[in-house]
Amino acid sequence: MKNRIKVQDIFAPEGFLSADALLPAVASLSDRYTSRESSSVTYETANMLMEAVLYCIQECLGESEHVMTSDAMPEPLVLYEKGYEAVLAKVKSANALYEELIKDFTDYGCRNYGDTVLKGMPAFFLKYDARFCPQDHIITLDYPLLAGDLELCGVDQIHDYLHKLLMEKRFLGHFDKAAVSGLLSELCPEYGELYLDNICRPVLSRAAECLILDKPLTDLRLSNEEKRELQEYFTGMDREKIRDQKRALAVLLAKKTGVEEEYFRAAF
Amino acid sequence: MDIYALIWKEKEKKELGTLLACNEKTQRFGLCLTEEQARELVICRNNSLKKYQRVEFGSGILDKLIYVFCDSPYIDGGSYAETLEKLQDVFYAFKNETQDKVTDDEILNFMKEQFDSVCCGDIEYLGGTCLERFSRAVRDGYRGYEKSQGMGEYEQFSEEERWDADLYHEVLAELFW
Repeated sequence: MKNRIKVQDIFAPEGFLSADALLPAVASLSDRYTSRESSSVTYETANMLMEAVLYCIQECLGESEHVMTSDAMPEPLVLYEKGYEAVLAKVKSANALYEELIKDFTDYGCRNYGDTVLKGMPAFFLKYDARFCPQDHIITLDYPLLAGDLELCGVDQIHDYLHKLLMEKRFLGHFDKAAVSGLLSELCPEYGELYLDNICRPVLSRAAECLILDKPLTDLRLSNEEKRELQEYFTGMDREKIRDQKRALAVLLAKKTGVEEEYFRAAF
Repeated sequence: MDIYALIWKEKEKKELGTLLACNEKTQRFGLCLTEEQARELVICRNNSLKKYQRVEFGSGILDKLIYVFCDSPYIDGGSYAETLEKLQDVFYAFKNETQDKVTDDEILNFMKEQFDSVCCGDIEYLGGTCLERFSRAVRDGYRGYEKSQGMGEYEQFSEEERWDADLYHEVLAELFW
């Protein structure tokens, strides 16, 4: 995924464009928004359209293979249109990720996870407005990722969310469904309704503990004896050291399960 | 970045010329704007836009307003500029009150029709009564104006008894028989 260009990078004097250069693009979008039937719009609408133009321009510049200089910079309206096409392509790509995610999907009995994926996400694809409000991803994404990016918005947020959710699904898929449900139940007996955290995190943590104890990875249960053994292992280590150990094991697990290492590294 | 300040700066350049060009068409109705009046009108329009928190990107509503109202029997050369200032303010208020559901043309048609008939040129009555009732209906879901383009709409919202043939004959009978 390419890095997003920040708004301040777009504007002069350091950036590519002057703010008033964007006005023709915003005016053109406003004409489209009102179907040329209204000569004025509210501040709220104007702000929304300005953000839409900026979002698409960021999308276009973020997707560019070459760094553009102010000399080679196309008109903002052209950048906006190219960015809009990039947004549409990203929606399509997000849709493909979603199709893959819901194939053989299981929520492990966790309602928050299931509702976010099966009830919330379709609303994005139904209601997302790529033309006039691409910066709004509409849904709240109640299920937290292991390492989400809260700064993203619009289809960028949804694409990133689905991409990471799919990685997490693939990782969880390496464990027995009953083992994951059992672990969640161990953490929170009424986890079905009350567990609002990420599922991957405790599984990753427990799997790392299994690695330390040299137990099979698919068995996520620890006996009291094993828990004591683990406690002894960590005795004398400070919090940072324990985190480093878990991070190293998480990376190892990522390699074993085919998940991007960086993602699991960022989780601890 | 103040997007609104940028828009206004850009617009001001073109607008005076457009308003003064309207004089060619309105002169035959005895209506003409001086450059000073045109400038004053633009300032008033900008104040109204700020007051109602709205932005105009294109050519704006003033020239349309002039063309629609220039043949009104209730506007004369002496009150022309002042009337336009008040009408444009009512126009933007109405855009907000109808939550942008009514197009510019539909609003202008409605305003002109009432201004020339039930309001008899009274802008206070137009804004405070006719538009207030109509916008309330629009907010409540009324959409009949889409078909009529804002024409012939007010009678159904009017709460006053007005002169019609029956009432006229009734009053005549009371007075003379």
